[in-house]
Amino acid sequence: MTAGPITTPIEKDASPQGRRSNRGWWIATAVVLLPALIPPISLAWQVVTQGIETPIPLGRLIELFLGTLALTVAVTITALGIGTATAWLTNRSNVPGRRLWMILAALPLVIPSYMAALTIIGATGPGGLLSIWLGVEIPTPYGFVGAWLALSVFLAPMAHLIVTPALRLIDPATEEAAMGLGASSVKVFFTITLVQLRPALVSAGLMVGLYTISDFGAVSLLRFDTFTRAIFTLYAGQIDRRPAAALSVVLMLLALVILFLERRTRSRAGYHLKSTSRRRKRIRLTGWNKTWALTFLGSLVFIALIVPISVLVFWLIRGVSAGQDLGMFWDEIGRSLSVSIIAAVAAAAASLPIAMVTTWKRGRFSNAAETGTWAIYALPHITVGVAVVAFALQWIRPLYQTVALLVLTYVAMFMAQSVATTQDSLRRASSDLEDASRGMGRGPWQTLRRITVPLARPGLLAGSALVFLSVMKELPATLLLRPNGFETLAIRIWSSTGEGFYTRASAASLALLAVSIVPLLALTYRDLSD
Amino acid sequence: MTSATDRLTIRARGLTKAYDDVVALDQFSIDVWEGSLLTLLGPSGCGKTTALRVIAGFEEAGGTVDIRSRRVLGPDTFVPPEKRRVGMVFQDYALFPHMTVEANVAYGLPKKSQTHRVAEVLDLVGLKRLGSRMPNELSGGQQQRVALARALAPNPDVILLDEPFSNLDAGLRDRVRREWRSILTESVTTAVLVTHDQEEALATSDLVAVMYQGRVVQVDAPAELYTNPADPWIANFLGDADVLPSTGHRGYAESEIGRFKTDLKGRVIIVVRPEDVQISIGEAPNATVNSSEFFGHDQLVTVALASGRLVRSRIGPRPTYQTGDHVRVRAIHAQVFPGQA
Repeated sequence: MTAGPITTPIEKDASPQGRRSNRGWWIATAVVLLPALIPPISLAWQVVTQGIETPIPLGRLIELFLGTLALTVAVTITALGIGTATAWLTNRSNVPGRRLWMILAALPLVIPSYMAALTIIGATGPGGLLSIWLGVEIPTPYGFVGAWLALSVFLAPMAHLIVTPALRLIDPATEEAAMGLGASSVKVFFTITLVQLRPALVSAGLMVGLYTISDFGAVSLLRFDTFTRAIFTLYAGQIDRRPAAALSVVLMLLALVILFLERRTRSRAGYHLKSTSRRRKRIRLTGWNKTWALTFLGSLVFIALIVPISVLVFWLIRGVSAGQDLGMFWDEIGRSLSVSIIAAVAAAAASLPIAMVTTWKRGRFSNAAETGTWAIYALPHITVGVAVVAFALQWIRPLYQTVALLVLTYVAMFMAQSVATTQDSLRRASSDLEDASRGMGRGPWQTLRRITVPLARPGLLAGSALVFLSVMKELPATLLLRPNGFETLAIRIWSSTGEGFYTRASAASLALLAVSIVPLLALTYRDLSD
Repeated sequence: MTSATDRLTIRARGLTKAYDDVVALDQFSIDVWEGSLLTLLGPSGCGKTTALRVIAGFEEAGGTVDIRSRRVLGPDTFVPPEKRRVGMVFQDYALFPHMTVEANVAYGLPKKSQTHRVAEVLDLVGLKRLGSRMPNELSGGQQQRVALARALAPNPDVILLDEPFSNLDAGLRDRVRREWRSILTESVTTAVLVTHDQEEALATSDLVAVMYQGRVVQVDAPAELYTNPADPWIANFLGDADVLPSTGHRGYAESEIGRFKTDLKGRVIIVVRPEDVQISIGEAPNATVNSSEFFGHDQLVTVALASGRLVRSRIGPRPTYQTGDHVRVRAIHAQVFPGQA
């Protein structure tokens, strides 16, 4: 008997646009997607048409551009290397404590870049934790090196999480065939595995690269000049916001160019939903290889988890024992939690129509909808902040500096994460299922409730978890858009650091980590079931 | 009083649909009589699945569709699929992966009749004991029977089958086909089957509608269709056939392998099926054996006529022929069409 219908490719209609059931989804997509595109477009339009009256010197612009670019390239390469290595070791080798390393490798994702920078500052320099532990003073790596280190180590989990499922989807037979032809496991990795990982590596590179050019917290604290830092300085320091807007548009274009390049490299081959039910033999690490693997994973966990948490705990204890006031921050926790939860649920709801029209209900505008979603996601948060502020001041004044506008901005910025996970869930099921339900006498609403939503549920849940984590950590857009006095954990960490209240910053940081750990564990949990 | 159309389950007229510039349906018309099984047969891309989806209501098209004399598709009418009382079995079965077999089958049923009816149809397809399984715990054949049970459960007016056997391997297919035919007969269900497999169409159906480029080119009972195809393309599509050029003259068309009645005059082509071609060794040989393939229950012998044209003959396992044997070849039946080979 054949393996059943799961492996048969589903023939897609050439253009099923004439189907009535699609219209509702397209309308919903337009409702969630178009408003999100308006502020950045209007900002770009404004800058392009009105010009820049107080131009930034060209030399300075080039300096910022090169700095941003160098950092992006360096961080992307490093994070991809680390992430691929951890994904491979925890999925393909028999390294001792495999499942534990799998969680530990993903865990630093909850640490926001500004917290990473903060703890680097706390660990190094005179009186830093490392100098106390080791007795040797390590100078604080301000500038490029510090930003590179902070971002690479804390973005590697992103690459790890994207490469892991791709690594599992590779048909074991291709690697076995190569080994059967006499290739060593190193050769198999570079000639077979890595090649098939390319799509995953490209999207991981996109995520990491966009995050880096968008990062504001780490570069600011570690004093490395990039666009985002310059934009914030211009924005905060002056009444005239046009220079900040102009720089934002430049940064926005840079992000869109990267997005465009990624789209170009994507193959049109599409997805191969082969269910690899076959068990894969793990590579046995022996002798020195095992030692190297454990050393690598150990030092990674030391740098990315143990040091930061130790620094935070060290500050907390030192501050408390010196009788410092921690300051109550239950309100901050409550605010962070509520905006994160509301944004996560709203983003999941908004992502369903987009995921539908880009998978089951494909039509003429599917590619446009997908590109639009990613374009918003690709925009650096500080530029989204600048754009939304400009737009709100001109057109929707009553919404300016309201929580509603802040949450809407979060949803627009992070919706793409939920769209991606929901698309994945929907792709695993056949689009005929909806037709089957309709054919059996169930109307569109019942079909939505009993078939579509249950099938999309894993993706919707994973998507909300990702959005929750992102909103929890978000700093630059929150700084620009929050109502006066609306302090979240992220804001509190940022402002206490700025004012030198490290004890306060550490308490808030630990609270943020504690709150973030639940959704992160939920995300890694599904990877463990192997 | 009952008129003839009362027994018509589906009446489709002039269905027309194009995707961008690809024509999927071009004036497609069909009648399906109550209690019968009609097969839409055609090469892939001829629009047969589209026709099925239009009848089910998953897609719209120009033209009209009546199901049991009720207009479900027309210029101002579109009855949504859930109100058409049509059961569909999809090519990939489309079982709901998050529901048990029972829940799948019960899905289209009203609450109160569920338990009874689910047991009934699962029994009908021979899966009584697998009700609590999940679809992914079943074999391909079992999944397919669940799909059939699910489509039958609400007692639809007609059941539409979209290549349901194409995912089964050849050995299983014949058995499953017979089984389904008897299940459909037993439940007195009108059915429309879509397939690209000639043998399947001929073996299963009451009527076969051959489709080509979005249009029905011939509708007939299987035997009639096979022996009297409307044109050479259909003849070739339905089975092996060889073509000889000839001329119509005084009521006959002459050829090297016999003369055949025809009213046509001028250039004609003669289409002959291998099973109508006889071979013998002996007097007045008119051909040479070119090659032969032996299948056990029969063999296919290709001979070269004096003109150089090749003709195939399907004969029993004995006697066997060697390449180069001089033989006499004669066709006992052939069809004559106007045109040039």
